[in-house]
Amino acid sequence: MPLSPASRNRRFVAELLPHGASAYNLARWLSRNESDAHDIVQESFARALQYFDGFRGGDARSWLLRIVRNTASTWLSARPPTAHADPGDEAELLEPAPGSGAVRDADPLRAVISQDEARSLRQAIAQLPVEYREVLVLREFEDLSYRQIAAIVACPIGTVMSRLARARDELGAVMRAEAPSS
Amino acid sequence: MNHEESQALLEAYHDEQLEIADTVRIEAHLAGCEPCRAWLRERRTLRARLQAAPLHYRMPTDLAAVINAQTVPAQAVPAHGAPPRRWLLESQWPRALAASLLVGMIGLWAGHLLTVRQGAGDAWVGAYVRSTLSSRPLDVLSSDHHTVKPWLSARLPYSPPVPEMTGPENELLGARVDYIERTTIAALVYRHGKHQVDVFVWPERERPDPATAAAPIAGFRLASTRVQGFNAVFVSDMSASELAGFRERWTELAASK
Repeated sequence: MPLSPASRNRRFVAELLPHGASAYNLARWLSRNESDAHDIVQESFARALQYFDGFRGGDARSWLLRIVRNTASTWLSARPPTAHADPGDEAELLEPAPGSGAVRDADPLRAVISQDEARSLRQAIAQLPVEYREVLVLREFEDLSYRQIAAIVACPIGTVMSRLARARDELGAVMRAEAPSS
Repeated sequence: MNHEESQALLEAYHDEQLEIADTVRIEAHLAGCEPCRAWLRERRTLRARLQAAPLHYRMPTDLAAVINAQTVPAQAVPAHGAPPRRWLLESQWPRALAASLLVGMIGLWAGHLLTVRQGAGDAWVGAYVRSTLSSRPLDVLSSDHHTVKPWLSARLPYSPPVPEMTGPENELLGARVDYIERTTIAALVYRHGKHQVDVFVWPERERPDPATAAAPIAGFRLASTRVQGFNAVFVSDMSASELAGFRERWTELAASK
């Protein structure tokens, strides 16, 4: 039985709006600039609302992120690859929450990171090929499992892992180049 | 676990995505392997940095407002408007409740079914993926069944059929012995076009259950067959129809031996 429009919308709001921040962060990293991210997220929510009857419950965030990812790739393929990449400044970014990220307390040192280092890290991520960038964002910032990521980007789990490995190798190389002393 | 194997799995270990058995094996390896420990330390440093740096973009408040406006109107209507509509909606409550209970029960049942069937396919897909990740996907590398078959029979309590499938389209690459559901099993590895196909073969009446999921698991498809007293499960990343074709050809050849 189809839900009444009102309860359908209530469910939509309850299930998907909480993941707006994740949706935006992914769109922002994929498009690499604010105005595209804005439009991608808006369109993604419109699509999500349209397809919501097909959502069978469960992992709402993955479901939404898959839509965001597909919307972004259509969006980005429709414009010149030179569209400007803008990693943004501090004002656009959230302060890292203590205990957030893929693994809590990964490092007790929990390095304080300088603004310069943070900026070069952002730039390095922004310069990764989009296939590497998307799996990195989904894994490190969204804490999704290989299986969930594989479903979102529609590729085998082994591919998720090898792309993650490449992304991290590249970032590691950038870090070593930045700080040869450490 | 040797060094090559562990390197193929370290990334997944770092991400805590390994099954318990592999985790135990890799930790045993790590205890004695400084290069692997150093590699892991580097990954952890990177993660610590990613967590310490501000890397989450803040959703602009106007965008949040737009999205709210996109979804809210239909919800807002009854609040402003006609009481009869509200009353009508409310009168449907018992029916809606019954329906949602039913939907919930069906969902639970379907979910159960899905986990059972997925569980059945997962082990095969896992073995396939690990072999493609590993730097050493085959234990015996030969397109000659006269080499592969004795190699397998020497390591297993049975001697599985090993159809050769020579030709431009299909080719026997070799075999390995896999460990699935506490049983050692022969895995024949073929090439079909550019795809790798793993065929797991074991005696018909023995564990594990050859049931496979019909839907692809993480992009991999499964198929199964029975021939000459053996179960065979096929795993590959090719299309359903290609896999069905491959299974037919393989079964035909196996039966003609």
